[in-house]
Amino acid sequence: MKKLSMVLVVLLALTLFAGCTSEEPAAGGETPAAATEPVEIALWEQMDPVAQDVFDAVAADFMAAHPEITIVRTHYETEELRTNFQTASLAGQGPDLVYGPSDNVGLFNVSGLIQPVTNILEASFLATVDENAKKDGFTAGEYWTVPDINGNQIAMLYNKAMIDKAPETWEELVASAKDVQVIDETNPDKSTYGFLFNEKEPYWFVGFYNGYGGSVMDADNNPTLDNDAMVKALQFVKDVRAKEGLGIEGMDYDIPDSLFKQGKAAIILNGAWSWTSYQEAGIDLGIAPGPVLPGGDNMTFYSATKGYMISAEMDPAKTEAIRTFFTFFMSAENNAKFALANSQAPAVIAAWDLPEIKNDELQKASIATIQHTTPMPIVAEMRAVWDAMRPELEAVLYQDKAPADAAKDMQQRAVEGVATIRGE
Amino acid sequence: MSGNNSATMAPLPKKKRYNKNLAVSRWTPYRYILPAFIVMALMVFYPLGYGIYLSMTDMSLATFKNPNFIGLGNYVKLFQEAAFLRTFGRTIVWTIVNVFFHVTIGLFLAVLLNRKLLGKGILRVLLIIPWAVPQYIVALTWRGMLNNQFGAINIFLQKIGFSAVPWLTNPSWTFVGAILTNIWLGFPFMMMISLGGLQSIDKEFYEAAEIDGASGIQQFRNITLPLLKPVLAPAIVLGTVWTFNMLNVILIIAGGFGNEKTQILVTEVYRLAFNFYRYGYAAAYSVVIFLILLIFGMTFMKRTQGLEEVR
Repeated sequence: MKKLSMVLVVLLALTLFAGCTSEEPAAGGETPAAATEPVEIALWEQMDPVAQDVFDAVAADFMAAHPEITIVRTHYETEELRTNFQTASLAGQGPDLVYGPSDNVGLFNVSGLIQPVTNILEASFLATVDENAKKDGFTAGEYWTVPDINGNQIAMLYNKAMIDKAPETWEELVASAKDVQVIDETNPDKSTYGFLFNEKEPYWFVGFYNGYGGSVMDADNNPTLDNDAMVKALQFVKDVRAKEGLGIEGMDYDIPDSLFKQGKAAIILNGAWSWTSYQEAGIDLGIAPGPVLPGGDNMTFYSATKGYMISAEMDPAKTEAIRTFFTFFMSAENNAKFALANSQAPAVIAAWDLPEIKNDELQKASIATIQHTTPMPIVAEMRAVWDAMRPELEAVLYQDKAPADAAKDMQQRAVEGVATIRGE
Repeated sequence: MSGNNSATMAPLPKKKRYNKNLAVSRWTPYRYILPAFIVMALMVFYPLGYGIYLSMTDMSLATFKNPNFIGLGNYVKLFQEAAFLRTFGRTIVWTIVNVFFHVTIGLFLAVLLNRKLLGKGILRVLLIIPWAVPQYIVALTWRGMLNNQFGAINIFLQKIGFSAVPWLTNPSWTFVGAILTNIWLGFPFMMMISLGGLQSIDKEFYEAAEIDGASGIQQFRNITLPLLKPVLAPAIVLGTVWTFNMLNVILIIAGGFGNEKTQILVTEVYRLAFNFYRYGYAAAYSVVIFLILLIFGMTFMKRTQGLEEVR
């Protein structure tokens, strides 16, 4: 009995510790694995369901062409991917590749969890990728991602059944919106709205701030929010309802989204991720860049890429297999498949000329509107900027705070947040 | 006499061989709890110890792989922050209001369901629904209902002559909205616990009290409440811990970390750890929360004698 219990305890302990064992990474400078030796590439990704299906299909083709390489894909949601990769890397258990939005780059490179892609990939390979998309993963003098799609940009969406032509200026938008707007105070369900957008979300608001010539950070990643552009942007967003009578108090993401799908909103501002859903809802969808602001430039929203990052812990023996992976997955044909699945622009320049991209309405709109965007800063300090913007934006919208005071407090809050992130 | 007896006695049976494996020694209980202890050590004690160690480091993005030990530096900084005290006060209000309504509504409904009532089974199922539906879904539904213009609550308030409440555009009202949502989520647990306790109370107590002429309120105060105490006291501690550490409801109703007036201690921990990447500092917050709840739990159980048998 005693022996049996000892065996059980040892077995239990072994089971519990099994997950804690670590494989020693091969020493740097080791000869890459011979082509015939089996290699496993572990990829952790945050892809939409359709993109996951496309990935599996492309991966099956890849593994058929390269039977010595196996790709093991593990899916995580955005936050999970971030925290799990950090935790696993700390324990030396991270994957070889991580796929996700570019705003992870700032976190992972400061923490030393990823390596510059130029460590593995040749300059000739990177030359095939669009310069703007590459810039989105560029910080601290290095490229940290291999972007495969570029987008996530907000654009002006209009219902062609209600508005004939995309307004090019704010004044045109106001006129078109007022033409179709019918508000029934007693029954909101019977109302038709001219123009709606997510008024309290900084990712939308920053389009107005950039349009007035603002930029949220300087070259040293310090916040630059207390300026004339911010005051103008805050005043503009307040005037949408207060002066022009457009929109609904407390507009969040869901209200414009659902009313546009129901055909009860003529013009909205929303991101590339949503466009397919409006077509599926039967809306005759028009997509155009945000109009020119009064006394400013076009609304200039952020764009962001999604792509692959290479773990700092990647086994050097897998270098050749990783290169083969990128050559295959970033071919124009395969890149186009991912772009179509995500309804966002392909990052590989040669993919833009493929008929499946050129003939796709959403792809055309995506490539056209992305010209009026600016890459979103990917540094970790950006979190402090987002955090500082929202309460002040809400205070201007709902508590009558003066835009100049809000800009000042926003700056102070952002500076404090940046100091917290930097541990100062 | 004894000699005679011994002469007539049947021979003693052969002494049974001593089975060492079946012997119960003083180590036996420890052998039984060893597997559970190993799991507890790995899943509870180690993370707790690591959390305490982390709280004494400056671990952040820049020092993620090589954090420096800074002793009580994070704690000193934390207690010097005015925002900490404000958030702590808000957390206390959040917890007291929620737990008070969880217990009163739960107990009231349990007493109701413990009586003869038409459609009791259906009522019981309906009242458990808030508990059965995932928190995330409930919070999203409430967020929709709290919408200023299209939400059911404001539409109802306006229909009966009140003005619309700025639930999602005024931080103070947003906090009230989060409390309403969490009350809705929390009362079924207290109801079920109380109902279980009520059903185990012997009916004879009430029959005797009735013979003595005790009123309904007297019966509730002198029989029901004291006999429910062993069940209710641990449930209140559990409910307090859950409410104190409720993250989902606040974040969903408030739409994120936007305004400080809607935040409680645990959302601040999340913000520090996952928005600002101050892992060491966030760990110090977590340890303080742990100590607050530990002290509360022990004091409450001692004061209410919740772990002692009813005399």
